[in-house]
Amino acid sequence: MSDEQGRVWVYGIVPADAQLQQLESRDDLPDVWLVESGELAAIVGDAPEDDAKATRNQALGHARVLETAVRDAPVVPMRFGVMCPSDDDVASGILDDQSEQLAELLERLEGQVEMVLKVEYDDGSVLRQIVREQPEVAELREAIGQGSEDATRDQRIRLGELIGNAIEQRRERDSAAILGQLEDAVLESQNDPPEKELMVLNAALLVERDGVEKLEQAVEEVAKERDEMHFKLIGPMPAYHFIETEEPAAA
Amino acid sequence: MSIEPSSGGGGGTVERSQESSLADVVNTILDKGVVVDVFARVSLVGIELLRVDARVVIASVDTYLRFAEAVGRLDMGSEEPKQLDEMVGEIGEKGSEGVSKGKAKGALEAGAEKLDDILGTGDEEKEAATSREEG
Repeated sequence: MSDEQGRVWVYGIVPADAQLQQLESRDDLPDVWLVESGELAAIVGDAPEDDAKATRNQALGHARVLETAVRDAPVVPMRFGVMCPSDDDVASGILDDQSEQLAELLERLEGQVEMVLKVEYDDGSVLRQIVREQPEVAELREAIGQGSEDATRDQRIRLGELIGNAIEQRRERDSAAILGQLEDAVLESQNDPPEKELMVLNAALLVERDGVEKLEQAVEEVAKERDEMHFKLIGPMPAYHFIETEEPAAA
Repeated sequence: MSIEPSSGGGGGTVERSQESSLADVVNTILDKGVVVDVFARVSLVGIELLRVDARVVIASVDTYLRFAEAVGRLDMGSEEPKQLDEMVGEIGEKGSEGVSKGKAKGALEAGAEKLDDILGTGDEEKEAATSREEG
């Protein structure tokens, strides 16, 4: 089927002897098959017929296929969007051409997975704390309550700015503290920029495959002390953040 | 997908999700992972729109005004934190009970909703994706 369309989508690379039972048993994922060469295998599937459709479904499919595969084997994820003309090209152009680096990566990732921890402030709790701690915020809040919307615009912007700054300070303090508390449960961590205004932490955590439970417990412990936050722990997923990749040459 | 909110104890909530949502991973799959530039990569015009980037949003007048509005609506006397959208819905109608923590959406999550709008637009296959997520 891939030959008819002329392009295959490459999801990621696994060891050729990987037993991907979960990937095989799922029928809610895109159809995928393995292209093997030597000790490596690529998880591939049909590429979308035109690029414009490579949006939501394809992205979710890409992530889900890799997440499912990593439950059974180490996975080197391909960046979203890598396609080859045919299965043979996957074998020669990726598996054979990069066999050394890929094998090395897989060996390193054996037994390691990535977990993602996203922590957000509960808006009511954190704003209330800021009002209590900062007299200027409390004063502005009172003053604004008594004026018309137009007349208080500058004051409201000033109030919002103070709150924005206060949240930023808290974010720095709290994200460092949380990562510090999780240190014993993770091998490496990387904190990405926040994706929302009230996001405290947006971290990728590299853990041992059998250390996921330990991390879950550590996160529960951390959360107990932090009423004003919501924690979301996602994964396991491939170690996206912990593989060295070369940027494509800038053209 | 399994979600197990932690119970009791009065701590922050922990949501445990085995599978990522698109918003959770879109930046990761665009920026991370091995690139093979021998072959064509898909045009990323469509997918780039899905990118989550709050850095632009944070330091803006619009954000400040929303912060100010949210703070103005706070009930500072309340022991049980109220959710902001509930307050929006009950202006001048004090005394109702707070909704359970973690269920209501705060006014400040409007940004997240905007993102959902973006995620949902321009893709005629959205329904298929949704049913796949649920199935």
